[in-house]
Amino acid sequence: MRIETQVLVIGGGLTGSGILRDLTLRGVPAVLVERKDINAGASGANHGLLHSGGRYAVRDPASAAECALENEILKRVASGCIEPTGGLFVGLPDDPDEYAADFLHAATKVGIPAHPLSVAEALEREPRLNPDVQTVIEVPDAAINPFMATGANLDAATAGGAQVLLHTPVVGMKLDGRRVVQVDTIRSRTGELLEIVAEQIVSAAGPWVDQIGALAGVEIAIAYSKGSLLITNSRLVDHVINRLRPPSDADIIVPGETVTITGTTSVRVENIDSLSTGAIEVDHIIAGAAEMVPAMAEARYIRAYAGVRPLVHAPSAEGDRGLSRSFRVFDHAADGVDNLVTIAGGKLTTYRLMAEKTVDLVCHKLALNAPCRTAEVPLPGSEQGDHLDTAQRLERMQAAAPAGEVLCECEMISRSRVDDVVNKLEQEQHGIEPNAIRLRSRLGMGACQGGFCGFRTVGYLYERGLLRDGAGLEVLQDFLEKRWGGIKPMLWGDQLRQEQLLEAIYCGSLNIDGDL
Amino acid sequence: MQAESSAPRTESQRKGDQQVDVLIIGGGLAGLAAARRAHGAGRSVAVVTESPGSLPYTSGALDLLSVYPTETKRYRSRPWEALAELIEREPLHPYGRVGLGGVRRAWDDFLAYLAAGPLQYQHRGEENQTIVTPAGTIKPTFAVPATLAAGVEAWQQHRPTAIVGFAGLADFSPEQVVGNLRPRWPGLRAIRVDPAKLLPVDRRPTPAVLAAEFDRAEFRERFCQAIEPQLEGARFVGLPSVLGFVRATESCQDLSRRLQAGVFEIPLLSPSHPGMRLAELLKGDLWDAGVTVLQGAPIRRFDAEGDRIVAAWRQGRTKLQRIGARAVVLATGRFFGGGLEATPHGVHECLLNLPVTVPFGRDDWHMSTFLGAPGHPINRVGVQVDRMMRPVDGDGRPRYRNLFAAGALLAHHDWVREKSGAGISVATGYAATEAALASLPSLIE
Repeated sequence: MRIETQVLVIGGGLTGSGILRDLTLRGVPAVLVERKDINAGASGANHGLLHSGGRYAVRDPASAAECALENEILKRVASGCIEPTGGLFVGLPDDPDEYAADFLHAATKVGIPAHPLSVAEALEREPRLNPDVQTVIEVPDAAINPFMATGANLDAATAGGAQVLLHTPVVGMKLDGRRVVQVDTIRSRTGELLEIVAEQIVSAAGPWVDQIGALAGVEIAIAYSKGSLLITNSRLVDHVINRLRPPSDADIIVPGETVTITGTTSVRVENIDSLSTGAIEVDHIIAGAAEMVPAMAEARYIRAYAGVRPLVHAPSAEGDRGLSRSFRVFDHAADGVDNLVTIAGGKLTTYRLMAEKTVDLVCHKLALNAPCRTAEVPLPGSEQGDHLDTAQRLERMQAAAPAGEVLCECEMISRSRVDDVVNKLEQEQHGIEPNAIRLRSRLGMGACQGGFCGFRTVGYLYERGLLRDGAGLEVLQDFLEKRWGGIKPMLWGDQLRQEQLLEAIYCGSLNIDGDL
Repeated sequence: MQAESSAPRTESQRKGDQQVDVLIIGGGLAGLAAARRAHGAGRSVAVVTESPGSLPYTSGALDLLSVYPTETKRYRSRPWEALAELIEREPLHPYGRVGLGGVRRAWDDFLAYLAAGPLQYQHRGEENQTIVTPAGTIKPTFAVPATLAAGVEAWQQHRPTAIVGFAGLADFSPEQVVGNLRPRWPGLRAIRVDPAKLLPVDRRPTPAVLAAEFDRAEFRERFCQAIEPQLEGARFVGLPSVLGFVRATESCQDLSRRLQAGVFEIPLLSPSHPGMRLAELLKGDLWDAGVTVLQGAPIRRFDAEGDRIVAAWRQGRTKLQRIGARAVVLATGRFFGGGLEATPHGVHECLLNLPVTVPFGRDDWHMSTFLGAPGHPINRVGVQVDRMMRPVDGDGRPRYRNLFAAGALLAHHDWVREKSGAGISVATGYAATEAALASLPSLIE
């Protein structure tokens, strides 16, 4: 098969989705291809933190200023994906004294509203803080749900006529002189070859941009820094908590709706397709989090995961943490390919700005004069300006899910919610399986990590006739194996007890590890 | 000496304090089998358990051994042959500790007792049998209660069979069972009953509500009228395991008679009625035999004199209650049961801090796949015992002369992968009690 479009976007993370929507708002026909499912790279493996810019204010003021501006814009246009929790930078007795003053000065300079808070007030508002905190500075950090944000961008784009092709890896590019004339992709589920012809091609493939570039004969120098994060089974803080010291490991805690997310680390890696988090990293992250919030030491952790930061700037004497976290738009005309653009680096908070700058360049190359509108037009679900409210969401879901209708009890996901997701997946001609439902609904993201609701959901899909014959057994086995990687590093205490029950059920009672 | 011996006497006069010959800690299958073995020995026995035990989380079918070796996931239809190999190769395995003769005696005695009881457990000579699960998989096991028996025959002979689901009952989808099995079992069909037509308006079809209803003949009659038109010649009828709380065997027979078909239960995921019924039966029979079963409160500490444990202190409502004992059987389970606890720094035994060796780091506790072979290394961690089932130190010497251990708490097995959980519990429960009884001063003297 062969399709033609004006712009092809490669990568179904938040940046690629933002680019697709930006193009659509400017009236440019576009197609997005993603080799796996939405947010398969760094967009699905981060803190879910909408930076105020405070973290970068002292060392990287350019990034900080970008964050500060985007923080304000996104709270408006993506309000439905954002919980404006506020953030606290907390200084402990061992932290450098002068950093607080530097921080306030730098924050003011780049326009971040930062205010010192008395320790007493900080402890009242965030009772689990380490009572030994010396200095607390409040900033407008917030929590953002990156899955909702990507979903909203893709919904807006497809509503505007764009096409999204998930599970469609790019396998080759055909060049004629200085132009890419055809991009070869494969529809993973059918094995069918799909040729895409586009005037301009945008690579938003995250840490895989060098591989995409290589298909066009373009070399992109990139380094990979792995960052690991841990999730607890409950929400232990109500503000984003940062350490008031130069950015380092294990110094951020984010309240992510019903859970708490803490990290990170920064480890150079070569192989970005099989990331894992070992005991040493886990212990390091927990120790760092517990310095700020002692309850993090005894918390029940349900999952570890790792993402890759693609670093596109020259090495720094201060190591990877010293590198600018800003982004770069590469116009590969400079490398001899006129219609290929790569966007790399950056961070979740600046995804919209990254999309804007990328699309500005693409429009320039297309000789189109269409201004960016993503800073003004709200995303679907954010039209009323209401923010994400976890308590309200759970109440609403509970009301909408009478007893016996709930498939995922940790996250209160009902049959009707799954029906909505399934209908959407069917429209997108996406495979109907628990992982795809999980990414679009939070099903299986709670304490059992899909152990109980995965089985229940497969049963429900059979009931609805969406799974047939022996397919469900493979789907279930595959779902259990996919969740395992993130669960394995966190198995002690109650989480191990629960996992032992699940193993007893799946292997002992159901024999799904056997082949009778 | 006078003062020392008078103090306990004063304590024993306190309300709730007691003295027994054998104190069994743990109310899972191992603890209850251990208590069962003490029956008839003329000794006083008490079972103390914090939780209701792990049996309600099981299918109620009793496994002996059906996968060996686990490295190759080799299925064994003849468990006794596999057991002989295992015992030969793995002397530290709980089965290896007990020995083939001991396993055989314990298992035969326990199954004969269950066969004669109201759940009418059945097995097929020396062979494993296979049951249908709610995932639509086939699971090997050794003995099943009568309510599961027709399912074994239906699958084995691939007879025309209807799997019945209840709309609104979570965790049981007849379409899932049928979908997975129909390629190999063409005569299998899924049918659904709307429980709203059978239940009072305010009742939702939970397993507990349905089990209470199936205990009543009047409900069974209405149920049969509702499904008969849909059976279309099915010779067997499979239902989720909700056929009754207290009269499940009778209920199952009655349904078979009314429907002119072999009716069987498919054990739901935990908690599951067949497992609960077995737990209730065992505890009830122990009560009737004069064994005290104390449930719902943990043991807090022990008194020891030299290398002997002399008493355990159980949490009462307001204060600790002392239970003097001449021998103690520990059957507290693995991690799920609460016998072992894992922290980021290691594994410890929870009640007596018995030695637990974990010869590898936390990164190697589990395999990189969840379902792969041979099983997760952490599952083989536990309390190591000598041939008399006494927990031993690193140098192989018993920690206490009168402390014995049984069940999943023991090291060097992986019952989940071997499908050997019930067999290990029963064999080691019996063996631990036999050793405990043998350690007591003779009754004749």
